[in-house]
Amino acid sequence: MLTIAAAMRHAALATAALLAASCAFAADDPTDFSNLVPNKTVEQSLDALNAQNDPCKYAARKDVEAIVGAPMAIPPFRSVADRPEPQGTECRYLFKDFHAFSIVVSRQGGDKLFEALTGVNTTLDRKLETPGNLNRILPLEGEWDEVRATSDGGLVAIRGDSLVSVTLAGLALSREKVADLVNAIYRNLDHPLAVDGAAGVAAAREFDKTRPKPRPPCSLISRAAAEAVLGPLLGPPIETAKDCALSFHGPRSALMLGYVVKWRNVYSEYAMLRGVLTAAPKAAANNGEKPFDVLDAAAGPWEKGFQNGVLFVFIRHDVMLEISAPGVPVETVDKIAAAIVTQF
Amino acid sequence: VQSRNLKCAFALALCTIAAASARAEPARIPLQKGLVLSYSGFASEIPQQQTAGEMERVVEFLDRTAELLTLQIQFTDYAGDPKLRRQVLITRTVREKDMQSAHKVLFRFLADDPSNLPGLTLLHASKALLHDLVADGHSDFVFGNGPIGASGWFSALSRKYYRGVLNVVEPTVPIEILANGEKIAIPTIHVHGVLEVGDLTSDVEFWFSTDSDNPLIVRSQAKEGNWIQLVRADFPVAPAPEPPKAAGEKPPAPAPTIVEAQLAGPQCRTTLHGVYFDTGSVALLPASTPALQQVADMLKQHGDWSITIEGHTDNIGGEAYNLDLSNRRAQAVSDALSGQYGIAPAQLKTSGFGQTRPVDSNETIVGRAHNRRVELARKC
Repeated sequence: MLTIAAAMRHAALATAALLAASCAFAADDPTDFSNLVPNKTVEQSLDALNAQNDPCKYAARKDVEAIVGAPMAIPPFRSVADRPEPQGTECRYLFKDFHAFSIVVSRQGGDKLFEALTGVNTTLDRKLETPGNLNRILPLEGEWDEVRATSDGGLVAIRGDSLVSVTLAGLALSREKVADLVNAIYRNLDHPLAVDGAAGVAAAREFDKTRPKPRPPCSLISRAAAEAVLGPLLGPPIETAKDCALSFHGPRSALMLGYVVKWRNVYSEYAMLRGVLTAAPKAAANNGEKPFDVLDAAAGPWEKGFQNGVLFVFIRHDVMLEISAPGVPVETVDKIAAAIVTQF
Repeated sequence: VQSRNLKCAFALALCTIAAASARAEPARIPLQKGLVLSYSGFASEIPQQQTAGEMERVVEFLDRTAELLTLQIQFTDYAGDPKLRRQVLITRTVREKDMQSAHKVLFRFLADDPSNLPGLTLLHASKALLHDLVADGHSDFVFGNGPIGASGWFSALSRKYYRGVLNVVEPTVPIEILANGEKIAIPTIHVHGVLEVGDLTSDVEFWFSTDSDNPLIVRSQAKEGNWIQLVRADFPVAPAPEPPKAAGEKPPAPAPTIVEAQLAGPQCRTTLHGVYFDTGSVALLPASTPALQQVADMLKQHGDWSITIEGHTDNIGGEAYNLDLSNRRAQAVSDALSGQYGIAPAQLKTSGFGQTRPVDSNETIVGRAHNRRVELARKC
């Protein structure tokens, strides 16, 4: 598990680094200011350049809503790692329950980004023995030269050196619908829409205030509520900055149930974690270890969840609960999870 | 036996006539099931070793339907390290509609590619691309390849898509290849383009066959020095139509093959086309199966025949290396016939002649391909 977690962190870091690097490529030509009015300040020039690179200029709100089949909660806005930022390099389209998708458009240097991204994911696929799970080339025809699936149900496509990436957060869209969106973006590349993604940032920041507020993990379930499910605890819950551990009597020995809560931007991580763990049994079996099959969680106050007998994961309102509870019955974990998730 | 030998002599005469008439017609390579194309080329990323950078690649066309062309690329992947050398078989399909209309050609294959990538062709121009080049003298073009100049067909990770315009350099350039062992000149159109992706440029030339039914890439060349060229095309030739049979007449015995006819003939010798090895190695490629099967069937029919399998090479790599290689290749064919096809070892002998018995010039790429061969000699 630690290996997988470490690998995932690496992937996330690598991806973030690559996306950050894409900022450098994003300009049509960062050194070409010839189209700007002479005598303007460098600051103004950079503002103009920044506006040129607005990733929200390529997908119309009505088209997006038609593809998703639901109205957006707020206008599209520029963001960085889902946080509203006027100079953000991704455009975020937010729906009810913080379901969202993000678009990254890299009009120059996208080939290098694509190469690095697919290289990282292919290497991870091999390390994790999950061939194609993170990085599958799809036999889809479209405006692209090549399109790859991502573990969250999104697509990353390349045409020449223009990259278009659509990542999903909690939205269950078919590949065909995402492909329609990517096609629409490619068709708009040379005819950007009159959309100002920076203008949506203020509304997005207001909307952010409606998100569940991060709280200390052990405060999410009282000792009495935990003992009502687990029986008497062996001591008070142990809290660190991010996690909370509950120790209690099992049938034969003491057991521990530990959990971590991640408070935003977790839909993609959920999908990736599920994808990796689904493929993990093969890797475990190859290593002579006991395989853990991934099963969907029973219905509960969560949007969705899964477990593999050791790790139990639940998600609601873009907040993720990960419970590690080896040896604890599924029904018991579900009861604890229900008590915590309703606090989100 | 006498009757069969007469049939063989007749078959041999027919073959000679057929070959002569084939030479009179425009040279065409039929895009059909069973077609095997052998390419030679130079790739700077391949270790020099004895092959001096020259390498061979084989493409076998496994099937062709109204919708789909299925091909298998068979070659050795060096992955930049001779120790990692391994045989690679890549089976891919191309939609017939893409063979008609695509302006995108893939030259690099990834390990995780799906069997079909829509919107492009593999190692071929489409009919429309050829038409545009012939009619307009230029055409938009996308080239899926590796880094600049790379002619490696296989990569574990990624490829790039270079875009640009191909312009005609010369409308007709004949390029010589071996078609079923006979030298023919394929008419090609020579085009050039400076293709780009981001800050990378690929300065490439192509020679497309002008046969609109099979506009294959006969040669491609990058300015950086890598090139690859078709040198051999082996394909099944449809048998002559049989005369109508009278009612109740027994079906005649199958006509002898060319190999059988030539071995039964006065020379007691033939060149066995359709045997393919990895570059500089003794590993038989899967495309060799029909030829080996044919020899095995023949030897089972002629249990009294004893044949010597002779290996011959070109002159690249030096005498000692080639003598050893030819001996081992002959032995590989013998081992396959006895091990996989159940031929009695007593019917088989092997001999290697290295570069000592060329049938063609070693100064040309096609000549060298001609010299790399397996011959069969019957004791008579």
